[in-house]
Amino acid sequence: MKLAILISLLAFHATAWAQTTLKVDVRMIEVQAAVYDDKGRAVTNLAAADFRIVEDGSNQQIGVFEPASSGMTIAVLVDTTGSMVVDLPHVKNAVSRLLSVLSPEHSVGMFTFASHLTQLSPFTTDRKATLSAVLRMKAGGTTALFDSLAQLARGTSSINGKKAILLLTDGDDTSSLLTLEASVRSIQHIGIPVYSMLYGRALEDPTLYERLKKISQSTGGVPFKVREPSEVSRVFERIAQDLEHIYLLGYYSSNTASSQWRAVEVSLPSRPKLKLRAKEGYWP
Amino acid sequence: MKKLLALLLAGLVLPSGIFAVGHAQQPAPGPALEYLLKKIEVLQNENRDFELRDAIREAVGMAPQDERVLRGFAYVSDIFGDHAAEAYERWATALEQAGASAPAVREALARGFIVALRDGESASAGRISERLTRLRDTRFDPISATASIEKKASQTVVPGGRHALGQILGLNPDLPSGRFALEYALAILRVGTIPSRDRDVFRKSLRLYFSTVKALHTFGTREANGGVEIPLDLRSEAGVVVASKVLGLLGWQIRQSPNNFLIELSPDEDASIRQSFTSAFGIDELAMKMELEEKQTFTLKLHDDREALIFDDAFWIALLKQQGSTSSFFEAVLQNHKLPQLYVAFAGMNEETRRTLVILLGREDLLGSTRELALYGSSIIIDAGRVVVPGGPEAAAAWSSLTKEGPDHPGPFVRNLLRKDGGKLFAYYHAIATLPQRNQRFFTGTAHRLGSFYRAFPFEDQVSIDHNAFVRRDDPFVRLARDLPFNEDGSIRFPGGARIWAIDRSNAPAKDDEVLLTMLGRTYSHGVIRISPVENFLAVAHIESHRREPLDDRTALTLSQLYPKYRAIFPYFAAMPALKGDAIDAFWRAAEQLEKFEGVALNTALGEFHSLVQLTIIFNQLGLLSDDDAAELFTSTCLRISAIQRPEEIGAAAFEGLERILEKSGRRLNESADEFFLHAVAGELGSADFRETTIQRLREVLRLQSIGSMDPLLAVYRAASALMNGDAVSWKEVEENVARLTEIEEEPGDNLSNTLRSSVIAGDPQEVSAIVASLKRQLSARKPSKDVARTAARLIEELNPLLQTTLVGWVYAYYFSPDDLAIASDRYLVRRHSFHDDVTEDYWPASRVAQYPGAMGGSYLAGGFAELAAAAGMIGKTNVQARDSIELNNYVTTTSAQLAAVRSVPWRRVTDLGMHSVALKLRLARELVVLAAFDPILLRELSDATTGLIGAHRRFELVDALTHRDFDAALRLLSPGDLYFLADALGSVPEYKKLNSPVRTAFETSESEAFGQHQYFGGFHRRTLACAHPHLVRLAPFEEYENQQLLEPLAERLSEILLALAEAADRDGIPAQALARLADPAIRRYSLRMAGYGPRDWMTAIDMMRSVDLKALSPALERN
Repeated sequence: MKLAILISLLAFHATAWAQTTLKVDVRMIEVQAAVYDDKGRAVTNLAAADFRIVEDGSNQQIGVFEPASSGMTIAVLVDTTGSMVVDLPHVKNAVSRLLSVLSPEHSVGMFTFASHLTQLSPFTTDRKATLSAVLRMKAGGTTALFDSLAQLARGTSSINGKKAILLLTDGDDTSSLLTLEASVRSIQHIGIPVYSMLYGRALEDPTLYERLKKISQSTGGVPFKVREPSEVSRVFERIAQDLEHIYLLGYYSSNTASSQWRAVEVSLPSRPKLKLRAKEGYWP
Repeated sequence: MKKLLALLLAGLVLPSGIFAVGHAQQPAPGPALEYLLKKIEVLQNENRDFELRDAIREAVGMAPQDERVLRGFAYVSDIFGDHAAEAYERWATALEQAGASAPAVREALARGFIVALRDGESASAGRISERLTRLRDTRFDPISATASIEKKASQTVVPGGRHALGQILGLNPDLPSGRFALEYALAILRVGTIPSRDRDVFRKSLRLYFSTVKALHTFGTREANGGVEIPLDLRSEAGVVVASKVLGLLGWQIRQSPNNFLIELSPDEDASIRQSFTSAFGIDELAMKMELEEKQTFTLKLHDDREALIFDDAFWIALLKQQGSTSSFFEAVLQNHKLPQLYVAFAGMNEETRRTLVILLGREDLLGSTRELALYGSSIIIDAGRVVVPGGPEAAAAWSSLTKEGPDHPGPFVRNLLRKDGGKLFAYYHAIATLPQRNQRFFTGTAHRLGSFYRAFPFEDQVSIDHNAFVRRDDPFVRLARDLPFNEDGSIRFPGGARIWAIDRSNAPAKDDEVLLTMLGRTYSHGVIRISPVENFLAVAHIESHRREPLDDRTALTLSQLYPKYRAIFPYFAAMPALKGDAIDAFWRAAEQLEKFEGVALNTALGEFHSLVQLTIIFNQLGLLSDDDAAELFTSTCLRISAIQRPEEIGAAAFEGLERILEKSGRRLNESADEFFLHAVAGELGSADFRETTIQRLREVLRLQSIGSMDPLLAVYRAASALMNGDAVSWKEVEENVARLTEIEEEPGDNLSNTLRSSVIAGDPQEVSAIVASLKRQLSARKPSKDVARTAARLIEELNPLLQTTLVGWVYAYYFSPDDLAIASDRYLVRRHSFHDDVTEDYWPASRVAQYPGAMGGSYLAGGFAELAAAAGMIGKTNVQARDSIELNNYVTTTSAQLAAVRSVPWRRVTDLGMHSVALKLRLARELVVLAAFDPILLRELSDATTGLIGAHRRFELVDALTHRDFDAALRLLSPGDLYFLADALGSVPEYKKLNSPVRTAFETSESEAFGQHQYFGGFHRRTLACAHPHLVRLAPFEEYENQQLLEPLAERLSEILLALAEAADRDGIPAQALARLADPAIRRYSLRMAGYGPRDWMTAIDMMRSVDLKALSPALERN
């Protein structure tokens, strides 16, 4: 949530007694957190008081808390470059099944990318509309993965609440204007978790996998390797389970440094044995 | 008919003063209306069309029934093309109600009828036609306005329908009738005849499509309308079997469990191809899935269409060896690539030519000549038993000497044309036939000349013909023949004189033909490429065409000599029409000096040079610098750079150059350089809001790219200069300005390599600060140091990288948008710019978007700024908003050229009147096209005027459509550029002189006042014209570019879209300064609509230009 608040401070200047208006642009920082016990089972009964957020070494006060059960916004982003022609039916079927298992309160948007990002259907809880869009997917073109991720991050920046990008790609970037770093920066600015699923040629490039793994981990998402097209459905099911148990924590940062990377650490001081996954920081 | 036309042309006019004569008694107007009417009369007398429109609209609000007001309303609606027919209907009604005479009513309606046809308002045309009939006006009888005269043509069945087959092939199913079969044949030819993966997939998809349609037909019941219905029902075992088979044909499958069915996409190999058929047939896949899963009946519906065909199915099937395998044209042409070649050839011929060829050649010879016929067949015209040769009847003897037969004997003439020299003569004949008429007359002037140039003709298409490829090469002969510059007396205009272009430059006068022939016969090496002297000649001739004075021989020769190495920056020379020989010499010396730099310093120096030159050109185009001033500044910049002794001195040269440019451009003493630049670009036209928005957008680009302010740089530079001269400075000011210097800061995630870091973060404000501190110490010592001058020079050196970044940033801010994704999200984009090519050691490469190799991805800009608008077009295709971005591999080359055209326009100079004048010219051309349908003389003049302007097939279609009164079909065939130049061509014909129309009067009045403005609405012609500023030039017809090897020339031909946008803006009352904002998003919307069609489908491209809707984009104005 980008909450632009104009705080007018009447500051008394010691020498001139001049009245000055300072405009401070403050936005709410959102952190999504998934919590698991030692057996990998989702923990869904935590309260705001259980969490602690530290940004650049300073404790932050949690102002917004949404429990794991609340609905979220999910962007499904599918690579539809030319190399996907053969596997696309698998993917369509897998996404169709994903739609049928997601909680009805989740809002889903359907996106594809080849040379650029295309929105096939807007964010909606109307599964029929989304399914219709899934069936319209066509393969062809080059891969502009980094541009598409940056555009999608921008496109979702104004959406409030919990959200995630589910990325499915089979290839390295061949035509983006943006570098990987520029793309990552855009995603980290928005702070949206990216669940990346790589398969096919994408698995042959260890650098690409490491980069996407970094994107996922730094944003609080999870990277997956998919060896066979038929595995897509199974991975989607795992992601769907994960998405059902995510907390949203929000705070107004006390950090005033201008444009530096801000490291965020989320912990559960009273439940130290639980495992927690959240983004590692953000660009202001 | 002639009498009718005279009435039509002479009678459909309004009096010059629209309120001069009332047709009938009017009720007494109120004082407010009376005042307004007087004001309107003044406005009309003074040709103030925009204010007139506003005033008349106001008057219509006050007196909606007043005959005089409605007369005025009809007039402004007519000249602005805004629902003019309805306005004339209202006026005619008011006339009737006011008791006007029948002839007066009829004249109003007749004018309404013509503008209805002109503006594509067929419903109005129909209504008016009925009213005219009721009034016993027989001018348009027996012709109905709404129903064109039925054409008799062969037809064939399109299996699955136009929409389905069109969608599979990416063809526009809504193209004019008769075009579908041609586009289908072209699509087959474009994938090539040589086996390749793309070709195999294409052919497999088509075969699968036809077999699927056939198979589906066996499951359904044929309906009376030619369609077939297939009910699917899973409630019985037999139903499941049928449904499984039908769904399998569509790439779907049924997964069955004890209690239910799951309808899923099949993962089989062909499934994804078959799945595309489902949506192509218009089947609702989701409904099919859900209804079948819910065990309801779902009915598939397919239908076939009928489509016009040259000859008939039987003719095409008879050309196949195995004739039993197919029953339709569409399948037949898929079996033998010679058939689509022949279809394309026939499409470019008239009926007599086709039939003559079929009789003349017979099946075997016809099939043996299809490669040549497909490429050049459109140039054969047989009319009334004789061949119409290029150059006209006067050229008959010349062609007879080459073909050894006269055009009066079509059979032998055409046979020899086809066979001589393996197709070379046919290619040559076509090359001459597609030239403008004046150029045709030159080459066919004598038999000797025609023969000499034939021998020099390179016949570069031979490779394509040998490999059976439907690709033509852009050879130097064709470029020379088309772009040949002429003097008024018809002789060739050689820049600097013919002698310098001759190989033997002795004093003996060179003959024009010999000079050209020698150029055509030679090539020379430059690095690894070979260049024809023709390229040098045309490049220099092109520069000369921009100038008021011809080039002198020394300058022309120097330019020619510079061409091979510096050709990428020739657009600079074209953009500065007052450059003299000394400027070219100065450039050459500066270039030599710059090439001595190395590494980061080389990039910095080249960046500064290009920025200074480009800023000079920008300020010149914005009207801040005269042509002479621009030339003088260019010369002085070059001289200053050429005079530097050490590379470190480039900074001082650049600062001096910038200060001179700003001063000459009108920057006042002590005025902020940054503010001056911003306001110079924003200009003074349009509302304050538009100007402020422009400034905000410029600032945003500078902010996103972390471009520092120019003011502190100049202030510190001036202080350093003063210190070097021993003058005093205010240290407080210097330190304040040093504190304002900024450089981008690297962040942990940036992952910059050491090499990249040293080039993108070259400035060091801390070091500047340290040098200033050192200077201060040196000067504050009791005995001032002798090193002050040296330290001050070092200060300027240290400022230099910061200066380069800001200079380059300014140029980027001019061409790019904050909505370009690369600008918004890659904060290093400006700093990554590589002005030279390390690998090829090319110091002067062309502007381009380069890609980083490897998994890091990303792009950067390379090359100089001479063609930066082209790169801006490429970058601009990807917007921060995904919905406004353009698919890379489809229509993107055209979109880039169109965006480049928009971004190269100096918008602050574009006036509403200029835009109005262009729009009037297009309306005038449309009006003439419509009138030609009623006037055989005008129709003949139209046919002549379109020679060389549009392709042969389009000319036949145009004349045919007008003969059959199919106005919509006729107007769809002409692009805005075609209309613009058609108006020029028809402007001198006798019938035009009889035309008395409000649009003609308004256009001719506007033309002189809008002198020079029309250029701004031309396209971007880097490759077709070697220019990077807007140009409105008559290029070759689209047909000449459609099968060229490279897409770029066709894309540039389509960059004339600004003409269409100008007309739409003028019609909708959108000011020119608003169009500056709307043009970019309008092109994006247009390109997205084109995304489903092939990049060479120019016919759909020009058709869609007609329906550009700027009003729908008005929210973009608020955003921008």
